Amino acid sequence: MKITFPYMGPVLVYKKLLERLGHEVIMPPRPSQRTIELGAKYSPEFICFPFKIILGSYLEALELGAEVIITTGFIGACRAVYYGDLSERILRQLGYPVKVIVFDSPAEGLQSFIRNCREIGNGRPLPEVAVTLNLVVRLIYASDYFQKQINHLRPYELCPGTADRKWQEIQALLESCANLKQLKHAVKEGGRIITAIPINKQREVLKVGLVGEIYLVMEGCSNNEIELKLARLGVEVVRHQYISNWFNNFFFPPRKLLREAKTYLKYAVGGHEQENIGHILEFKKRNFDGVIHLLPFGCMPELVTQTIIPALTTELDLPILSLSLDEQMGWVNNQIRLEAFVELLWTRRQLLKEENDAQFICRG
Amino acid sequence: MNLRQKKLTIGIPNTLFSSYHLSFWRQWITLSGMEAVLSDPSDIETASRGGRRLPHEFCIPVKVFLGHILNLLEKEVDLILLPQMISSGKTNYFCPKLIGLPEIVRYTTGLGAKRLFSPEVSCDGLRLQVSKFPTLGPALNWRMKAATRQANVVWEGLLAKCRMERLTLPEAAGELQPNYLGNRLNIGLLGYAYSLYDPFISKGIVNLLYKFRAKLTTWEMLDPLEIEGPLAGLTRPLFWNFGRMLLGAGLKFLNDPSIDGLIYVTAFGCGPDSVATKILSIEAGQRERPFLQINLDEHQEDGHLRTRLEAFCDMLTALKEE
Repeated sequence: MKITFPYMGPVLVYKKLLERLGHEVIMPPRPSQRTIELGAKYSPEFICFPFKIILGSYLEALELGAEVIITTGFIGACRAVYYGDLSERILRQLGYPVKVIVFDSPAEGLQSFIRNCREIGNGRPLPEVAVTLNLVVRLIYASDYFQKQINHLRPYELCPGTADRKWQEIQALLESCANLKQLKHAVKEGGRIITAIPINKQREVLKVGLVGEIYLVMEGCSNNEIELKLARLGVEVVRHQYISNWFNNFFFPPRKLLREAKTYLKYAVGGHEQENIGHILEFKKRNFDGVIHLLPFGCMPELVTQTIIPALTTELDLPILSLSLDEQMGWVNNQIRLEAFVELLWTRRQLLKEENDAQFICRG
Repeated sequence: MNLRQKKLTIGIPNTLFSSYHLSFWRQWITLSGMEAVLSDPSDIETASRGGRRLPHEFCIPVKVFLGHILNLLEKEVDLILLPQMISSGKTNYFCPKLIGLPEIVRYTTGLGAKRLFSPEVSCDGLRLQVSKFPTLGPALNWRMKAATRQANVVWEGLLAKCRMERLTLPEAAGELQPNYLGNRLNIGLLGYAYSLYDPFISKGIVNLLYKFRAKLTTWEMLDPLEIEGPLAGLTRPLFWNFGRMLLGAGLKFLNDPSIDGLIYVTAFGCGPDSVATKILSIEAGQRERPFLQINLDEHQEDGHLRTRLEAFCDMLTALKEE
């Protein structure tokens, strides 16, 4: 059974999981302009951008010979619920005899969850599966930990591009781990690689939070590497959307964060809108210079957030830039908006500093 | 508040949720001893006033809705009806934009929560359930509770009338006159009530089709079981309650040989419809049934719409004559 999966988050780890369960894995290529064009061509016109990218990457994986796609689903008001089902219909219509296995949360359908697990488990004994899962989950956490470090260091690096090269090295290192002992060793080695990146800690950088639709925030290929572009402009980008954070939030919902967000938006509307509002409030508390909000064109939950954002900006006195992205690959207009935003943040910081100085002098 | 002196006036925006449940809300408010005031019919001014206050990606129904709210504010009503839609059960949701409607209105118009009359409502597509009443004093609350059942009876009576006499919702409510000119064709017409039956948003598609001597069949005219039947065959039927009715009705029409063709009327950027229309168009393609999808937005020119509808009707007639 040649298996593939959507390109999202630490893909190498998913590959490892499926390979250890004895499947032949067709790695989906990293989404490129061709992927997006392919996806947009066969998707419904008004469906959200992430669906188009994912459909495109399925098509590329099918060209490489994949037969089965595994993906996750849930039940809710967001269109992401139908990604698996709709892509299966579209791919079948295009003539690919593909099978899509959708993993729902076990709370929403225990039977189908167990059936899916059996199918993916490939008859492996349970203890072996448990060992593999343990390793894979730890790998995801390790990978996200290093990615956070890299994102933190990127604006400070002396030679642009070093951090990203080192990130590739760390990924290769993590991929080669076959057991927990090797993972422990790899984490140590990764730490050494990170401390060896030459940085200029004295450099003054802006701190900007990144919130929005999870796929656009997580995947550099969908947001035109916005984190890298901001780092070049001297901005440190902090985001809370990683697969490991998603796990944490799934098992332990961030109650305090959601409670604060509920004063702005009473009911969850289907996506991550309440979490995003909570994160914006948290970024303000941590004294960030600004926030960038990414949404796919026509995203239903994030549009609700977008209507609340002007009120948040005035109430919190925090600049927030909403960027709506779709398959139009021209980036120049967004680049100009980013540069103008960064310029504005620098001016604000300067003015705040002058104000503080003036107060200090007046007080004598 | 002394009720004997002056009745509390509640403004009902006559679009979006009221396009479905106007009879319910009007009955509910009157029975509770308040006065219902309707907003004026939508026009280009309504849409552009609402649209200026919203992010531009919103679909036209929401833009028009905000225009209706602004219109009601000018009428100086005491409160504005804005139900908080919540889901009942695990597989029954409203579109996210409808769930977030109270927040959208509050943050774009600056209306305080005190001016909004927001009962919490869930709906399985047919029956409305009010789960939380706005606090307006014990006497009024008691009356509102009592009125819910009666209002539901009125609403269900209206639906039954649609089914019995083969009328669309506004025709059964007496707001529009059915305008039959013949039944050369039988067209399955799908679309949300707020875009299809609002002559401004739909640019009078219903009347145009009547002019082409078509008989219309819509979801209101079907028995709920006929809608649920084809949905049971799907691995994952839609979870949006209004969209679910349309998909079920659409699949039923595809299986029904007495329906000559399907027209799905949707709004530019409508999220639920992007899924529903794709499923329907794939199914229609497999069964070789004619299927036309029309996207609506603020553009006022309707020449192209006329041409497309006419061409579609001509094609159906030619097919039928073959």
